[in-house]
Parts: sequence; structure tokens; C-alpha cells
Amino acid sequence: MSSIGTGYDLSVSTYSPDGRLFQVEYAAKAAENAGLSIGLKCTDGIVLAVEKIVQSKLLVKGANRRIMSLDNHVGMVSSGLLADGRHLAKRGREEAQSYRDQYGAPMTLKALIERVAMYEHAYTCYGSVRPFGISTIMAGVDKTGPQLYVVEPSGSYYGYRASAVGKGKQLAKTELEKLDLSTITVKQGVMEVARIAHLVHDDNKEGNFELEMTWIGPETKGFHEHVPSQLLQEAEEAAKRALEEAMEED
Amino acid sequence: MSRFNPYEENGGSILAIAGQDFSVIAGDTRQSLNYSIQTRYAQKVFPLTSSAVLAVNGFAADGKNFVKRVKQRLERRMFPFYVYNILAGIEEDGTGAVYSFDPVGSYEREACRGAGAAQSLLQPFLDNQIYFKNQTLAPGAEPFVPGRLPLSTVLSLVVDAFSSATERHIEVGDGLEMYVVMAPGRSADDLTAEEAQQAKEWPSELTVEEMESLGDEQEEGKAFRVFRLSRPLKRD
Amino acid sequence: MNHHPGAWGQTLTPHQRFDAYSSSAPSRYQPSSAGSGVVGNDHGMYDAGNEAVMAGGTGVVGHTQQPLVTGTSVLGLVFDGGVMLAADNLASYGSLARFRDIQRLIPLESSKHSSSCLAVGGDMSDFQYLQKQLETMITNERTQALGDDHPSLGPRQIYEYLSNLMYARRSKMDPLWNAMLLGGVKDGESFLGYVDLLGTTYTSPTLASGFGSHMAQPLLREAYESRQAQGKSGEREGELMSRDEAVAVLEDCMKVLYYRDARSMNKYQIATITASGVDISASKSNETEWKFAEGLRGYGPQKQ
Repeated sequence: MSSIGTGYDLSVSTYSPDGRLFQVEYAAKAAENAGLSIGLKCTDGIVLAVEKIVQSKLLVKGANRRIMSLDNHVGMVSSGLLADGRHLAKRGREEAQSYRDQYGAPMTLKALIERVAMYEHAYTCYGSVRPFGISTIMAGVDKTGPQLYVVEPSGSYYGYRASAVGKGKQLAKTELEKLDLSTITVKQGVMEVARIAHLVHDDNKEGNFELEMTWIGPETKGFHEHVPSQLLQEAEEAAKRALEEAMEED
Repeated sequence: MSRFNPYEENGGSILAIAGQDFSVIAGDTRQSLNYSIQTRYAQKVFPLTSSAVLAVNGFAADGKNFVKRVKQRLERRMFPFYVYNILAGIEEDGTGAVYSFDPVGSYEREACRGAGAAQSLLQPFLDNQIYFKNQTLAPGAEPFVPGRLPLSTVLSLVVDAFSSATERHIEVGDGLEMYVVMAPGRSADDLTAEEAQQAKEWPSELTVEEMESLGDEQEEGKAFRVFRLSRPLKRD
Repeated sequence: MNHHPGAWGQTLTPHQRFDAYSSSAPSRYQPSSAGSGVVGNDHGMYDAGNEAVMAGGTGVVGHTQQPLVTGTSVLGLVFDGGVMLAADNLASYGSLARFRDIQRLIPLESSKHSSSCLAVGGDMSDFQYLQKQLETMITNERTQALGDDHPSLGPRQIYEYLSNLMYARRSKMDPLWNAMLLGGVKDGESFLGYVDLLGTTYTSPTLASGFGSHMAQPLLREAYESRQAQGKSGEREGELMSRDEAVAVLEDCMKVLYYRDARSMNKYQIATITASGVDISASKSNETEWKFAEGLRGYGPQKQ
């Protein structure tokens, strides 16, 4: 950020002399410093998870859900400004619904992500607006099978087999790379994602967290639903055990 | 060319009688269309406030939506609801009151009113029993004054009116639902006490339950009381 | 009736107007002047609807219409594990058996808490429109439901929405020409309700629309009430039919309707709605016996 304060970071409609849009990069910072989100594409579905830092002990456990549905078959989670995430989800729902109305079929993830990304991109083109302060994972199962994409504040998007956004995303991605993503099932995915979330999280630095997880798999009949609380609990317990064992080995 | 007819007649009847410090309002629970019974239980009598109960009869779909909108206090005149309404309750002076309405909104306070499919059977009966029409005073007897009958007499009149209408009208029957609204401070013994229910006049198979007050804050002992009474009618 | 294009728009004599085979689509609302079997209109063709309702060229357009492609009656029955609905696979075009593989039972919201299903009779295009409206609403609610304890839609909620929609359309004088049954289960409680083009609604443990309200409803009530009596007298446990008994009664009703309803077909489906979801059977048909008809005048070889 050598160019900070040179006057080129006030508007999203002005490039710096070396061709950067600082407002977009700052928006990405907002996303990078927020709680970790993980998305995993499996052979038989997808898994989404988010690390919710417990902001206050007065909050009800399990309340303030963060992972959202855009359609029956599409889930979305984002790291960054919560309200920006909700706004994007609303837009995604409208796109998915209008597609259903017009074509009488569920929208493919590829088509949906294109629309949502174009929407985000529009917020990087005008001086009167501010880019979205979120990195978003959107995943679902459509007629072409499980799909997973990540959209950045710039409006660029990529398809992945697995990805993570938010604080600690590098470590999480390194762990995801170790998995055999060509054979993993959602059941195994739930266990792995829980393990990675617990591994990446640092209780001393960030305080306690709640793990929220959703999936689409054989058990949900193609619908995007919360992972049953019993399974989630099992996954978290296994994750904690695995971490303790790893500590002892060290 | 045929025009879509947005109305239907769903049969059934309603009736209300005012007493000195109470009122009784009733309706059967059959909903029919021509010769078909659509259901044996559809509500026609709806408690609205702590002191007023409304009975609706005519086109059932309009009736349901009318009640829904009365609860939201809305008005409608150009495309009338095809419903006859009777409202019963307690007036501000503590007397039992019955108001009857026609579909376009004209209304009248009365001592009693029958409406619906069997109006022509119910009303003459009420005229005779409540207004004492066509009765001659015995020499030296007290003059007839409508609206002073005791509750027990009114209850058996309502039951008789509906059982008779059930016998003679195919669209009336299945069940009878009655609401009794009592003025504040009035004793409910003539409805709830054991002796009252053992009395000769007490209608058979009648179940009585007190309704929870509908919201308005009321001081203990000065509250209106509403009772729901029900009884089977013949199902044929 | 003369269907030749040259005859379109011509005024017909009463003789020409008489339609012995009732080849135009059936309507519940024939004009009184054209009663007693005379079906038709001044143009000798289906009326396109959209006639001006108010005289004097006020430009007010009415939407009064007729159903064209229609499904016949649907049946519904509460049993001990939930609700069953039945409908045949036919969509008629007037007296023509036009579409013979139409599913008129549509599963709606089913979740951990509730399952619902709709059975539809009447105009098939209105039904398809309705289906889309309902599915949009349900998808919408479901996507919201992933958030904080958003209540999910049970059969009563869907029924209320449907009733409001139908009543609003009849109040606009632009009805959706259908009669429908909605069956469902929520938190172990069964629900069965009827709603039609007038916005008329009612609930009952046995229901039937259209022709079925005359032919099948009495059979359903009899079966339901005798089973209830057996329960009350202590002869059998519980007061509701088992799944097999309910299927048997519905099959019997569908057979009776097939014998007597000229717009029905011997190919139908049964939807079973329970806490675990909506199961729609494969199409089935009943054994029928027509030998008795040989002796009937007009069917057999007899003349006069």
C-alpha cells in the first residue's frame, strides 16, 4: 500500500497511476479481516461453513444465522460486512426467482454467479457508490452437479473445488488442498470442514466462536439445509479431539 | 352469453334474542350448496369484542372475509358482501341488545331477529314467543313486554326454533352453536348452576363453556361474561 | 354444431344452436335462457371472454371466461396417518378426452415439520398459473426459512394463501376457474380443505369436488363414519381408517366416478400425505364390468 494518501483512493472511479483501484482493494481488506467462511464441493453435494466470533455473551446461542439460501438448491456465505452480504443475497434470490419465472427451471450456479458478480462489479464503476465489503462463497447443486464459486469485491469470480475467505483463509486453503477432493463425500466433508475451522481459529486472539454449517447432499434431497445439530456436534467433537492429539504429538 | 356469478347461497340460519341484562345469539353449523352438504361444521357466529358477538349468514366466502375485515374495521358499499348480519351484545346502559343488518348496511335494534335460509320459519316463531304477537292477554293479567324473558326460557326457545327449522328446512342442521353475553355484575347461576341444568326447561345435550375475555381490560366483578353453548342438531 | 371457419361469427338459428353432443367446453354458469341442454352462444363458437361488462362503452373490461381444458372431480380423505387425495389423469377439451396423461396432484412444501399436497379440478391453464404462484411463494419462504427461526409454511398457511388468492380473483370478477383440495400434515395434525373459484372454503375429514361431491362424498362419509363408530363402540382401536382401508375406499369412489362421470378416465393417482412426506402413486386403474350394459337400450344391439 505504498500509494496510500496520494489522493487516488477517494473514489472507485479513479485509477491510481499504476492502474489500481484502491477502494476495491480496501473493500477486500474488510473481507479479509472478518470471520472465516469455508466452502467445499464434494462428489455428492456441497458444504458451507462460517466461523462466527461470539461478539457478546448476551447473544442467544445459534441465533443470527449467517449462511443464506438463494434458492432451494443454492447456498451462500460471505465474510465481511454483514449487511452487504444480506443485500447481495437478496439480489441473488431475485435473480434466481426471475430465472425460474422466465424459464420454468432452476438457475444453474454458473448463470447465477455471473449475474451476482456483474451486480457487484457495477459497484466498482461509479464514484457515487462503494464496493461490497465482502468475499462470498456461493455453492449449490444444479443439473450439472455440485458447483462452487467465490466472488470478490471487484466482481471477479472463480470456480473452485474448495475455498475459504476471511481471516485465516491461507491456512484453511492449505488444509483444504490436502484433502482428496475428487472422492470426498459431504459426510466426510462436514468432518473435515469442522476440523479446519477449529484448527484455524485461535481462541486466545479472537475469543470463542460458533460454527454454523449447511449442506446439500443425499440427506437433503437437493435442498440447501442446516447440517443436523447432532451431526454438527459430532463433527466438532471429533475436530477438537484431532487437534488435541496433534498437540500431543508436537 | 353467461356472466360469471360471483355469489352463492350457502344455506343455514342465524338468530338472536335480547334479554334485560343478557343476549343470546345462535347459528347452525351446516354449510350447503343446493342439495349438497359441503361441511357439517362451519362457524357462523363470531365473538368480536368482550361484549359483542356477530352472526353472519348468506354467501360463506363473503361471510368469512366480512368478519376478517370487520376485525380490521373497513367499509365497503359498491360491491356488497352478500351477507345478512346479526350483532348481539350488551349496550352501554347494560341492557341486552340485538342489531340486525341487511347486505347494503341498513340496520335496526330489535328484541329478536332470525335470518338466513330458515328465516321464514324462525321469525314467525319469535314474533309469537318474544313479541307475543297473536296472543291475547288474560283479563286482569300484566301486559306483555318484549325483552324480559328469563335466560332459561330464551335458551329453550332458541333450541326449539333450530330443531324445528332443522325438521322443515334441508339447509339447516348438523350442529347448533350459541353465545350468551352477560352484562357486568349479572349472576351466571341460571346458566352454570347445577339446579339450572337439572331444570325441566333445560335443553338436552347442551354443553356450556365460558369464553376467555376478548382483550379489553376489565375490573374483576365488572366484566362482561361470554359463554359458548353447543348442541347437536339432526344430520339428515 | 358447425365448426367450419365460414360459419364463425354467423348468427345461428335456435335449431343450429342446439348442440346434442355438448361439444363446447362445459360451464357451471350457463345463461338461464340457454338452459335445458342447450349449450352455445350467439357466435356458434366459444366466447372469447373479455366482453365489456358495463354498457355504454365505458371501456371497462370484464374478464368473465369459461374453462376450456378441464380436469374433473378430485377426492380427499383423512386417515390415521395423514391425508389422501385422488384425481384422474385426464384433461378434457369439452367432451373430447384431449390430454390423457396429466398429473393433477401436486406436492407442495414438505419439510421436517409439515407436508402438503394440492389436488386440482377445473381449468388446467388456471391451474398451471396457480401452481407457479404457489411454488414461487413457497420457494421464497423456504429461502428465508434458513435464517433465524423463520416459520415454515404448513398446510393451513398454504390454504389461507390459496383461499385469499381465489377470493381476490372472484372479487375482481376474474376468477381462476378451479375447485381444489389441499391436504397436509403438520406436527402430527391432519388438514383437509376445499376452495373454489368463488373463494368458497370449507374443511371436513372427507371432501370431494364437482361430480364427486354428489357421487363420492356420500361413500366417503359412510366409510369414515362407520369406521368412527367402530372406534367409539370399542369394537376397534382408534377412529380413523388405516392406509389400506383409505386406499380401498378411494379406489371404489374412483370406480363409481368412472362409471358415471362422462368426463372421467379409468387412470388415476392417489397422493398419500404423511409426516414423512408426500407420496404420489403411479397411475392405476380399476377392473370394470360393462356386461350389464349389453341389455340396455341404446348401448346393446337392441333397436327401440
